[in-house]
Amino acid sequence: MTAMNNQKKCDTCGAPLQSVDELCSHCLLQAGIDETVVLPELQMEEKTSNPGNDAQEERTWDYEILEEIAQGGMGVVYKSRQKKLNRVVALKMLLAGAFVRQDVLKRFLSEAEVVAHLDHPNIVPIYEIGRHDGQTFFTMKYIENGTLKESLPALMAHPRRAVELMVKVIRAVHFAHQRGVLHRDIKPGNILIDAQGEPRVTDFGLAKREGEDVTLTRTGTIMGTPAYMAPEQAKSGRVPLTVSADVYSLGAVLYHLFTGRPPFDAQDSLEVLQSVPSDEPKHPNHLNPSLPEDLSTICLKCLEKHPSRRYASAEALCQDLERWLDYQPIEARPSGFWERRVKWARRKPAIAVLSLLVVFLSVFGVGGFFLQTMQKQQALEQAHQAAMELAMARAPKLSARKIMLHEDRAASVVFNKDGSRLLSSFKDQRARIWDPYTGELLLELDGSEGALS
Amino acid sequence: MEDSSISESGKAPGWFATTLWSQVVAASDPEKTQGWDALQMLCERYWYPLYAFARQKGNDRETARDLVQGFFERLLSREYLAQADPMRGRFRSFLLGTFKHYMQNQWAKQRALKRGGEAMLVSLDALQGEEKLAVETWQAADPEHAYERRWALSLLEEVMSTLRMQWESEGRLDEFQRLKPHMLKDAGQERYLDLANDLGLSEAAVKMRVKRLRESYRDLLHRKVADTMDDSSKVQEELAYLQQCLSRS
Repeated sequence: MTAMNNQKKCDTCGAPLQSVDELCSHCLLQAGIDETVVLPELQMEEKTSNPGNDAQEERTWDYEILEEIAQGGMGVVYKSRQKKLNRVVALKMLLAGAFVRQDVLKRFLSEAEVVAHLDHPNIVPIYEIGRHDGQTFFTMKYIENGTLKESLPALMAHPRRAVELMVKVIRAVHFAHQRGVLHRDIKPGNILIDAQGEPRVTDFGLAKREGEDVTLTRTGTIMGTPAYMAPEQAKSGRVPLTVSADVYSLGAVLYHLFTGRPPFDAQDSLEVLQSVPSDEPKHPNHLNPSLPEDLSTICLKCLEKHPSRRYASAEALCQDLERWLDYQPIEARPSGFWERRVKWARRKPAIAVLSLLVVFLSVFGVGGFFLQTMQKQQALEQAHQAAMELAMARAPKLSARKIMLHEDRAASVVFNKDGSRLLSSFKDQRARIWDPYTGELLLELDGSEGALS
Repeated sequence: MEDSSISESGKAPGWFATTLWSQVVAASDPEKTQGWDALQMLCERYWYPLYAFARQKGNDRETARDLVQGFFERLLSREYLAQADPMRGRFRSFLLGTFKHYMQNQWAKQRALKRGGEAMLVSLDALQGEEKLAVETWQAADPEHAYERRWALSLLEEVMSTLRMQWESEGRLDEFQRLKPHMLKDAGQERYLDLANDLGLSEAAVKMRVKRLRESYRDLLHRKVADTMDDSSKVQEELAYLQQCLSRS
């Protein structure tokens, strides 16, 4: 006030002069006020107001923040000292503090409630939940040695140690499943390692009761970590999840432990999300030739696209890993020859089409499709007719006339797996690849070995 | 000279529906860059009141700068935007409220050490902040009162700066400088004649240009205030409140 009394005053409004661009700030604001508008009586805002203060829930702040240790979608985690008990704890607080959305708050509290009911040596326990200065928080046991993420390089060289550790993790996840809780965000970053080297599962922030719909944000954003997410979880939309989704994620963590990278390792989350439902992961032994094949088999069984083809439970997965540890035969079986071919074709559709062409031409002879016998000719024509009818039904813009560019008519037409390409071939020793929807000729190959290779 | 986006009625078409703060409020999906961009713009405009608040709370300039930068980094994280409900208060209240929470957690120093050469999301010049603090001719004992006053002044600076840039972009900066002192009150007959001579215009033309400058300023002021609110119908109320903040000691 003293300082203001000594201030110059505006000649126009008489207010203490606080200039903005050589003009009185009071007058500048006045210029924007419509004199004809009747304003409600203004109350100066409470200087100590913090939205969300609730005297009934406030408590003496018992925590001293030491450092931030993690930030995730559901909040920030601090290493803190609990003063009354003089112990170090992990304190998780919502990022938005007192401005948090109600649905986010609900999910945060739900996480605390879920974990509070999971008393297991390999699940990080919750100590208390509360609110301070409008900010909601809960505290957990502080785990010293970081996460599995940091241990990955060391564990890759010791698969036995990795399996022993993961057996404990899987048992903890199974424990949660038995109490109707799915984790839904299992990944190396959510598996902590304590000072004794024991794993502890944490961050049940996305945990849901089994059978409930996938939790989406208000605008339908998928929740979870794409690189470890089951295909049914990666697809946007309401999909009831089961324990199988967590089994997949556990398999993805195993894959990472054994190979040094997740099953789908793309530049960004969107690319990973697109790969997970449709692509097959590389065989672990391609990335780590020294990995025991049984471990690859177990891993790949977890990563099956269809939930019904994975382990029926986390416990079943655990038991197979224990069989391996005990040098017993595992129950999982590697994919058969044809199953591997189909999965390969899914990964490389273009090459699969060309390979089919090579096989076909090899069978009928690269030099031409002129058939030696009448029976063969008739059989081929019948097959041709059927194929042509199917092609016409599926490719309305690709007229028979176009395919007849093979000088006479095509000996064979075949679609690729997703129907986006049509291959035709005949005795002119040429193969042609068409876009069945536009009728456009995309590629033309002659029958020479050089062209085919 | 008229803002090309302002209609004949003096209001920019659709501006009531698309204020910056309303974009942030509407941006429920953190992947929508529109809300994120709007929030970043607002942070770039109004960092100074936060910086001065941090300084007034006893932090040295480096700590204050790091607190504000770290806070904006947090505020602009997509996780934050996904979790926050900006409906709970206007932007100036939201900004101070969340900044206070951030400061309370007292881990900014550790974070500052870790930040190193990370790219700054918001342009913040601590030196400029110190210069502004040094030339303040008023004092307010309470840091929160001071914050609101500085907020009001920052708002006006933003408006005048934008107005000046508009005139400069048309090559009429000199004219703006001459007409600006008369923007808020009538210049008087003699002064208009002088201005007419200086600018090579008729007296009527000068009066018309002053009138338009006044209208442009007013519209811009309303728009900038509305940018910080989720309900643009309360602009008048906010202007009156900010005027009181300037008067409060």
